[in-house]
Amino acid sequence: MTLFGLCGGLASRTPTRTVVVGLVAALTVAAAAAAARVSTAQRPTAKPDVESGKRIYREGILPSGEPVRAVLQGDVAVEGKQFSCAACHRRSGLGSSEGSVLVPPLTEASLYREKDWRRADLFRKLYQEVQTKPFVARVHDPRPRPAYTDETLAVALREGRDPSGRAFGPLMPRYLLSDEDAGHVAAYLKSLSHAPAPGVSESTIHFATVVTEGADAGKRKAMLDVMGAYFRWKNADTRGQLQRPGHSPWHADDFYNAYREWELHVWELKGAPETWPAQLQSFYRERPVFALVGGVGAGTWQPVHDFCERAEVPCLFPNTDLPAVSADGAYAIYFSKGLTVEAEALAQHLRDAFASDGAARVVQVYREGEESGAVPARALRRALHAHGFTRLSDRVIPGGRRPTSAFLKSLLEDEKPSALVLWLGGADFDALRLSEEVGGAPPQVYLSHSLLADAPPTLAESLRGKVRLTYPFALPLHEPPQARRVRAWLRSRGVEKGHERIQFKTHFALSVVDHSLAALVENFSRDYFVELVEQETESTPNPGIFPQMSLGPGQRFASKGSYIVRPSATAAGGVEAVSEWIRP
Amino acid sequence: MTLVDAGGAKVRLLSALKHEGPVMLQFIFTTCPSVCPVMSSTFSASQGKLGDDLDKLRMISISIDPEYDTPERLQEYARKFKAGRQWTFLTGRLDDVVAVQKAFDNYRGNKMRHEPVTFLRASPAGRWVRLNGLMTASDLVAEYRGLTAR
Repeated sequence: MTLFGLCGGLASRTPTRTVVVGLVAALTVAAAAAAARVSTAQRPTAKPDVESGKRIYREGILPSGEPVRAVLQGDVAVEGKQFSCAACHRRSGLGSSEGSVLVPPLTEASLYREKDWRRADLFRKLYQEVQTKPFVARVHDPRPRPAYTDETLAVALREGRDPSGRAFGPLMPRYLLSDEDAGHVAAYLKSLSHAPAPGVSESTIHFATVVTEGADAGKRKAMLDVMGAYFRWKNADTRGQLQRPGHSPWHADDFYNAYREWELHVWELKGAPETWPAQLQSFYRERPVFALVGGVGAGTWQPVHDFCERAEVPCLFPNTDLPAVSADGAYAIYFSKGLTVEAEALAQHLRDAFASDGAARVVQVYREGEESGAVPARALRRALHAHGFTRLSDRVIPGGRRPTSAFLKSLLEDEKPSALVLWLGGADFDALRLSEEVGGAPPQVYLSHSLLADAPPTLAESLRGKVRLTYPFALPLHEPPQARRVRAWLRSRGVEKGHERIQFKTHFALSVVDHSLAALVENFSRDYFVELVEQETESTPNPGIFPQMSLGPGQRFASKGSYIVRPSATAAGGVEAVSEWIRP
Repeated sequence: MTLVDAGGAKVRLLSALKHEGPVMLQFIFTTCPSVCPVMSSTFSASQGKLGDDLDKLRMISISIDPEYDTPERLQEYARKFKAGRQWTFLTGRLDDVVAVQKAFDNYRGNKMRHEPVTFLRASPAGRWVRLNGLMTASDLVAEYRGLTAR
């Protein structure tokens, strides 16, 4: 039987008893909340405190250190971070939209004045998404919801009723909060997304892109050319919108206040990475920007990442093989984990390949003091060890030196590996005639496609069959329609050909920014911007550099896996997959 | 079609769905902000109300974000919702998961557009019942009892 057969003839039904049960339970919760009020009334009342409110809002933790408790839908007791305010209303407090559910904003501007729904804020919800009947009733209600007070807010949190008496939907937990704790929450809400973020003026929104010293000149040019073309095109479009005589009819004029000219600043970092934080600070002091977009560098990206997290500036989609992968940040978003995900995918591939060979040994080679080798080497070791595969040894080439034939020969004789992983760059192979060194019964040789700078080494015939590459991209065989559209877009705007992968990635990053800013309207909060980027990335047409681009709340890497491929003279793009898409 | 459970083991979806006893099925993802935690809480709370039926029943939560939801992440999610042995969490290849959602008429493109739906079936020979919207644990158990009593 097929799946379709199994699921054929679905009967459809909506639970109908929710209301009654919900009502009884709401009364029970109200009683519990009243009990909570009574119990705290005997304690001295602390002054409303923004920091305590922030912890309740973001973490779901009370000042006492206890988790906030709540009841869902009348009979489900819940607690913890997953049911904190921020889980749904998000860090920005500007709310979200999920399926047919609208999670409204909670900022002071929204709560503490009469609620009159703005079409601009609800545009997507009204015209692009499913609407529920209660939602339609709310937005068309001629009587605005009265402004909240601290007292009615406490009622809303505990009993799930707004100041007009409307009961909240089943998604809103009814929180067991004391007056004092509700006061902390109110104090925090009043501080949330209060003013437009730095980098946005009445007329302009400022972006920066970082180029580090040592970045490939061709990649730098490819990125900046696309950015220049996109900014010119975007600003021409904005000017066109604003110059329409008499403003447009219908909803379009709701958006006039949101339009801004985009201005790009190129931040060129010089010298050693240790000096970058001071340089970034100085650039930022001179010209605060709303967000960093793109970027191109050689080596570590960590200092830029740290700057973004410290300054709370979104940093979207830099071109780096070495993003910060362990940090639990809120502002830096990457295309992928770069070399780390290549190594993790390789680990899974090797574990599978050697599952029945208990003697198989893996040797990996990298150069001392080079992050581009040390980082994936660490990741490979960690991922193999985590699954009990310990027959791995490291051979480290001294800093600044190239691997020699003698080195490789002795390595193979001493270790007799089944797999040899070389975390080395293209130039390393110029001097190394791989075919000769690994003659005889050669091991499987694994290289990183990213480290080879898109130019696989010329290999002797005898070895070609033995080389495998980690390949964290979509296979060249499957080019989606969006690739042709982007190529035409670039050509028609006079962008010179070269480094197409960087060009496509830059175009994609700017498209995500564009869509997210459109959804943001005038709410220039950086947290909200990041939240919208998390949502828009999956909907933005994918030009096919990566097979699947998607984020979600708290997700920081849009592409999450890698292929293992082999060079092929006949396959499209010169590579042929030897593995499925591995998502470690 | 083969998916992967939270322990990393391969699971043939058809065999899982053809489980001898009743089956309850939901589509979720672990970074889902609003809807899934509530849906999973309903499964979680209903465990305490189902009594001995838990032994013959199977609950299945399939991730609609399989690229992010690795078995490890599903394990953590299962722990958070105190999932018992009868509750299986599945992930897999994106294409496969999309196909399953389409088969249940529950695919909405972007995962943030998903809707709260629970599917119930009394036995492999029975028809799937689709419950639209969120519900209390008592509601879910009552639907389950109504269906299995027939």
